Amino acid sequence: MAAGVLLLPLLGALLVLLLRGRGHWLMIGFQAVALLISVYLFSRLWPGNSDAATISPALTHARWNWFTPGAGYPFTLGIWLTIPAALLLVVVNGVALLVQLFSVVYMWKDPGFNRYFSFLGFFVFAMLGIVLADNLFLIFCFWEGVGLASYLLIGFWFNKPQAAAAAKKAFLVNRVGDIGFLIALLIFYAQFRTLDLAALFQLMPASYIQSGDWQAVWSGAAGALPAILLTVAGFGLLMGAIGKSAQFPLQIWLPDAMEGPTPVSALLHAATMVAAGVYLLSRVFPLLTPMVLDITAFIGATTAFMGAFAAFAQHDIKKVLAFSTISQLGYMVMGMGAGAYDAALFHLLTHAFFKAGLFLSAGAVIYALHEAAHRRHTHFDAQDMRNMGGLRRKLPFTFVIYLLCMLALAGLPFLSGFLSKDAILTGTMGWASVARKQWGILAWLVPLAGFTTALLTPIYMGRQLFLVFFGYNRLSDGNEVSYGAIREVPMLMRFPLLVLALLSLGIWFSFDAFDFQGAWPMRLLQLPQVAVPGSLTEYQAANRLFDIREAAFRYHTFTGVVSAILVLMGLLLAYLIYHLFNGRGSFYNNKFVFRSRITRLSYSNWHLDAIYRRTVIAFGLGLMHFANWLDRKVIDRLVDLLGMSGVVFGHVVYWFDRTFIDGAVQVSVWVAGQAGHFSRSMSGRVQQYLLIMLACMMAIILWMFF
Amino acid sequence: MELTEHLLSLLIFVPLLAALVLLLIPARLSGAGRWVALAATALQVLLAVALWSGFRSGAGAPAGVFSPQGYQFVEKLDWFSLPLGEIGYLSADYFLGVDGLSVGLVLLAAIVMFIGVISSWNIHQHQKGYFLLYLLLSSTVVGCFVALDLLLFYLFFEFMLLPMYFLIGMWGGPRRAYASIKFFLYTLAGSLFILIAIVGLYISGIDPVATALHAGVEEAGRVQVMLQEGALNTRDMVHTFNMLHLMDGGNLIPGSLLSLKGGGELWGHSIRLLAFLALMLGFAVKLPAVPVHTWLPDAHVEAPTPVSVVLAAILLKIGGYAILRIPYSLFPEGAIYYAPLVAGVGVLSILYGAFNALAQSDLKKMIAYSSVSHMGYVLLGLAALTVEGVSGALYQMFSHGLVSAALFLLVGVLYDRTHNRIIDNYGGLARRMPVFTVAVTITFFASLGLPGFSGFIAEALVFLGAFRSPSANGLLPYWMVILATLGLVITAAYYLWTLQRMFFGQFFVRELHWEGSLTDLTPREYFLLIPLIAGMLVMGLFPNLLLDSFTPAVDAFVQGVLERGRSNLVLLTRFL
Repeated sequence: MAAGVLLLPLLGALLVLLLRGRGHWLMIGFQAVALLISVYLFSRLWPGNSDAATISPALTHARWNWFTPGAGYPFTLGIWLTIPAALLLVVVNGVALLVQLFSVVYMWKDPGFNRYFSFLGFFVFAMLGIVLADNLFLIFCFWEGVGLASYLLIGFWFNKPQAAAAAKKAFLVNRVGDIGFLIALLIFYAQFRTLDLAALFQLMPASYIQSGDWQAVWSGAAGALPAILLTVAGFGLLMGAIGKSAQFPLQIWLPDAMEGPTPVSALLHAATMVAAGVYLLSRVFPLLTPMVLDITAFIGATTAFMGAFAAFAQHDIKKVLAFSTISQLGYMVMGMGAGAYDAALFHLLTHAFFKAGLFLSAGAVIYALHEAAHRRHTHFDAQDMRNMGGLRRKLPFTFVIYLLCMLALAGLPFLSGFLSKDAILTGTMGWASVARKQWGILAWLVPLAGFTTALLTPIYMGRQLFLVFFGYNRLSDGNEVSYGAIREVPMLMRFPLLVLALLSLGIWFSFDAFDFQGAWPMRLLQLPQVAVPGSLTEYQAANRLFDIREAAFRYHTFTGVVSAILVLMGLLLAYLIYHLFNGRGSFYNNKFVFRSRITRLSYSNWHLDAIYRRTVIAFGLGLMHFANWLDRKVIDRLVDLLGMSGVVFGHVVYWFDRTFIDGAVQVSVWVAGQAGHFSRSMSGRVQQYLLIMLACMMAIILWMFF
Repeated sequence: MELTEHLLSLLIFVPLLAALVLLLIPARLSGAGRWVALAATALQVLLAVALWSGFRSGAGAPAGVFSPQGYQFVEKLDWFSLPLGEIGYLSADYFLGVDGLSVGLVLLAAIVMFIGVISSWNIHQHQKGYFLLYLLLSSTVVGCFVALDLLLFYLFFEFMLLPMYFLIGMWGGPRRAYASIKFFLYTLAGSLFILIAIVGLYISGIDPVATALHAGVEEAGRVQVMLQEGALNTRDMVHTFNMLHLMDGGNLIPGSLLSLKGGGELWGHSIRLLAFLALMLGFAVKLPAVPVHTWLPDAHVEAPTPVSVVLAAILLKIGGYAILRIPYSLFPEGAIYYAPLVAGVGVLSILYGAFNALAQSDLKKMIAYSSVSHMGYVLLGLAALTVEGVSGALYQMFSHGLVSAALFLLVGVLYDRTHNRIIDNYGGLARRMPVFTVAVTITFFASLGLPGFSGFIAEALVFLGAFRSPSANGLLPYWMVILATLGLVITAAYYLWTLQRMFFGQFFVRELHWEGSLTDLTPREYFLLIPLIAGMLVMGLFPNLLLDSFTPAVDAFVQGVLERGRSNLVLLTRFL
């Protein structure tokens, strides 16, 4: 049944391509069916709905042989429906359905309408594959498939050079992360000769570490691997997540990915695809060593802060959201690393809704401005916030939706974001109080970054709220006329917006708005059993996680109060800085540029692009030029030289042949001729000629040898 | 059945016969040449399909590789046998057969040859000569894959050069003379090493069955015992080129050049190990591996499209296949002793080829370097000597056969229209040639190893197999494999960069008059590309279809090379 959910979007994508015309409604229908099945599957897995005995194994875990190399073990195609997987199934299908409905209007006039929908369907297929696949090899396949979908959709408007460049960048940066993922695969395979997750979870705890060797225990186990590879494998998986979830230091691709159509940004680059990294970490959580988890927490914290900081000084309405996505993904990764497994997935869930809502609202704004510009025959950048302001009056519906989603993101109590963010922050506090044994004071940097980000988030989101919807409209240079032509978006677009905004309310997740512990996702998601072998001296991974969670309970109230205060403070600050003391937005006109060093640092995303250009890319291009020089000027020159020396040698031999050997022959011919002349033996008899010839030849041979 | 008994001969002689027919038709009917070639290659495809479907694989099927009973469709005739008095007999066999390692390659060769003919449809210059040489090539290529006698193999291997030389040299681009001579001399120099090794093998080994006959011994097994005890008279010994006899250490004359016991030495090195290196060097030129690869970019750039297709898709595979069949099977101790060297050359080829591809401004040259890079995986997978690694190496040969054929055809599409292949001379082609762009994008992604396409399965198996080597058989170090994974990023970089520059962005061509000629794919081009792309997908989605055909052979190969190699190395310890 889960396989059906997986294949429906793919079928839809193919139909859209084949039917041309209006196959997209068929595809959306398929998507709706997929969503219904997902909801059914989720309800089946809900504890209490059916006890373990009635859930058939076929429903949750099905496997088929795919291929077998040599006398090895088979690679399988399999689906493993766990509770997080079922949850993600609902989220992905749900958001995908809403985004597709929204896209019908948004992309209606685009000549590539069908291409767009088929790419979207392919994406959903690949994404569901990541969610469902039961082994790392298959996950990797879908992982790459999602990368392809992202490449195709970012570069959807391939005529735009920036879109083409952004698509390439996204794929290449992701490939760097994928190498890590691949190396993890190689290590697990070398050790266990299987990449099946269920098998790994059983083989892993049975393996042990002794005197620097990591020894597997199973019937076909070969020689031991160096112990370090266990940690390397964890880092490899983390690296994969870092690439896909746009974490430091690979977060540079996500802002550029905004070149794709806005609904794509909502589905891929906010709600689902970028969350795949977090999901992967949750799927392989039992295989991660404490060391890897700690680094994961640090990376997430760094990214959360860096993203929030970079969101401050953007002009593009979508770029603000992109950096905020990076920052929120940082939260999730941080939570995962801190052992707040359930909190991270909870945040993934709430973030998927409110961030998709934000992106679609931004899409609605862009769409409305585009239409207005079209009606009045003007041209301006419909994504540049410097051309916006006061849109609350023209787009009241969109405004309310945006406000709800934005407050959820900011983490205001009573909205979903508050609960999940609180859960993560509490988790990091607990982690820090345990991890300080290893990391000392550094451990507290993780919750510190978390709280700082909690303050920064309402500020930069408040900035966007005020600059887009409040104050005066800032269209100028003859574009003012378009302001009057702005109309609220059509009903088909409003429906998805409404659903997403409603899902941003906290009430769906927990009746008590201040108690994340009571939220159903937190109760539903169980911390998986840790499977990594701990060496005898090292702190046992499982115990450590238990300690962290024990410690976290103590910080529950503290975190809730602090984060609520931070949110209110942030919103107030945003109002003061970007509205009241900013001439109600009027200073932020189309002449405005960021001048100070700090705003430029934010605008340029910490100058990361420039740094990479001067280091990694310069190094790569240097190697390229070196390889090319080596090939043409050294290797090929040597080959030519070898060829030339052959020719020269040939000439020498030829000269020797002409001068000495041929000369000798001519001399003997002359001698023979003279001899014949003297003997007057030109009788015409063949035998005599032959005799003379033989004699001459004998003479020549004798002469040559003696 | 008569037909199946001589299937392999038919595969070799059908094109040869067609070439003869072509030779006899008068020059004014030269237009018929392509029809004759089409018919002959189509027949060859049918025969190859018959071979493929008649080939038994799976449980209980003969494994091949080391045992003569393991081969199918065997044909064996005495070719010649000369008594040389005191030094015994000189004999060679007409010995053909296929096992899992070769059966698929025969099919691949037949299909690509057929596609190559269609791709040659618009060659009008000296048609008769062109297709004559093409058919000659087709026959020798198949011969290389099915010959089990070293002399016969060498004959085919060398004979391949002749048509190739003329095809590049006469129908090629502006620098065709340079390219064809370079190709010819390069491969000939490589063949020299192969020849030396073959002669060495010939001197050192005997055919136990024929020898038994001459010596009047009842059974071959007894002859081997007598040989090792020195009880056999030299004048009764029948020297042989039969690969399978030469793989058996028991058939090597004690004290001879390449014998295991008391074998020859040169400057303190075992001659057996040197012979392994000589063979590897010879075939590495063909593969090609860095640093003996520089003939390839030149040959590709100058060769006409169909010749490039055949060169990349099949001729390079002969190098890879021959490495499995000859140096690895005949000198397994070399495979073990030099595993890090072979893998190192593979990794070097992967990275160096990829970096060079990144640097190219000529689209065809870029693809030529990508071939160098992709063939590096074959060496890496082979060197690992794990079932995954060797399966991956073989799979990569098939995959590259399809992908590179498609890539060169696609370059040909552009070249046919504008006679220009410089990447920077184009921009935004997607607007003008949407279907062409789709085909290029699919093929590029297939080549950069996207899951769902054949290349991914191949590369994944190579990596998995190579990384398992350190713990499974201790041949390769971990770092080598990790280094090789970097190739994935660079490969993606040069393909995506090319897509961005040539196909996306604003439409742009260097010369105004090209604009009119840039039409989308013609039906003939569709016909060429669709089967190749379908093949890549099928191989990527259903790997078992192909893997099953060589599973028993790969198992036998890996096990045999490791076992024989280790025991041989013990005998050669004094050199190590």
